[in-house]
Amino acid sequence: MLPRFICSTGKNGLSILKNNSTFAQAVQQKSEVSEDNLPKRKNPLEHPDYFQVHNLFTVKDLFDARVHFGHKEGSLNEFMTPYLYGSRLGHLIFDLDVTAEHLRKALNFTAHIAYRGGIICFFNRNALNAHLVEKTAQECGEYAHTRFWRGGIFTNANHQFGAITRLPDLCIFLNTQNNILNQHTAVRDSAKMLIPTVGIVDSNCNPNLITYPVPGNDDTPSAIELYCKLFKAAILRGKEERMKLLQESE
Amino acid sequence: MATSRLERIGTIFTRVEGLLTRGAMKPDDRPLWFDVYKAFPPIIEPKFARPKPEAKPIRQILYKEDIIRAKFHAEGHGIGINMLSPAGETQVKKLIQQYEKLKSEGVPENELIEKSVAAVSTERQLDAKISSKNPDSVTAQVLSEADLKNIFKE
Repeated sequence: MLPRFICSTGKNGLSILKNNSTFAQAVQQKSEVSEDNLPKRKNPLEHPDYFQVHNLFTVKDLFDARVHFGHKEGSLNEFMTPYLYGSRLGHLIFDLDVTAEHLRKALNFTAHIAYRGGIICFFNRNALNAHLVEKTAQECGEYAHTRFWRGGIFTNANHQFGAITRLPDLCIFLNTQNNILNQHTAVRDSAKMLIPTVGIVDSNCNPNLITYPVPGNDDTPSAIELYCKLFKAAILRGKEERMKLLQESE
Repeated sequence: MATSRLERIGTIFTRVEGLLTRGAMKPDDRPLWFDVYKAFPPIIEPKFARPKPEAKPIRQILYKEDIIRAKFHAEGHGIGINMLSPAGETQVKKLIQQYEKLKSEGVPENELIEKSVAAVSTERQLDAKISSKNPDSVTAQVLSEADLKNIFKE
C-alpha cells in the first residue's frame, strides 16, 4: 500500500476550493523554492487527459468484447434509453460511441483517484465473474467485494468494525444489480456516504445514483474481462504517476 | 465529519459543496474526489430525482439480407456457432455469402437455398478441426481428439 499523506494547506477559506490537489500544490511550491532546478510539474487536473486513458481501448475492442449487447426490450429501464442505438429483433443494442465517451470519463476519474492515493473497491454480484474481479483488484493493489452485502458496512461502519473506519474513495461496480430485480445496496450506501461510483449499467439497471455510469453489457465474461483490464490499467497508470511524484518530491 | 446522507436530494457533489459554502465542512476536510469531480464532471448530473427521458420509439435494426436470413432459418439452417473460437464467421453469414455468390452465377431462385446449404456443409466438414482460444485447456484437448462425425459409433 502506498503511503497516504494527510495534507494541510493553510486556512485560505474558500479560495482553496479553486485550487487542485493539495498534494500537487505543495510540490509546486517546493519547486519554486528550489529555483526552477526541477521542471515545474504540470497540474494533472488542468490536462484534459493526463493519464492518456483515451488510448486504452477502441470502439472495435468494445464491440469484440460484446459490450453492445443489452437485455430484451421488456426489461428496459426508461433512464437507459438515451444510451441505446436500437433494438435487434427484440434485443437492445447500446450505442458504443456513447459508451466509449462515458467509459473514458470513468477511466480518467479512476486514474485521478488512484493518483491521489484513494482507496478503490470493486463490486460485482455475478458469481461467474467474481473470481476475475477479485483477482483484478488484487493485481492492482485495491479491494473487492463480490459477496453478500451485509447492510450497514458503509453506513454503520464504525460500529460494525469496532473502530473508526476509512471507507473507499471510489466504488467501481462491474454489475450494479444484486439479482435481476434489485439494485445493489452499496450503490445507495455509497451515495449516502458521499463516495463517488463508477458503474457498468446494463439496459435493465437504473443509472441515476451512479456518478459515472458506463452503459454496456454487464453479464458476459468477455465484457467483464475487458472492463477489468481497462480499470486495472487506469489504476496502475495513476499509481505510477504517484510514485514518480513521490520520488521527485523526496 | 459533517455529511448529508439524503442521497435522493441533489448529487454527492452539490451536497458537499453546500456543506463547504455554509462552513459545516472545513475546506481541508473535503473529500479526496471533490477536485477531480469539479475538473471532470460527469456527462449527465447524477441526480436521483431527474425527469424521465423523452419517450422515443426504439429504432429497429434491420438489414437487407434479413430476408435471406429468414429463409434459411425457416428451413432450420444457420443454427450453430462455435463459441470457443469467436473470431470465425457465423454459419448464417457463410450461408448468405454462398447465396449471394450462387445468385450472381445465375442459379434459379428455388434451388438457391438447397445449393448454398449443401456447399457450406461440405466446406464445414473440410475444416472441421476446432481451434479454440486456449489450446492448452482440457476442453480443447478433448475436442481435438474427438471424432465428431463418428461420435456415436463404437
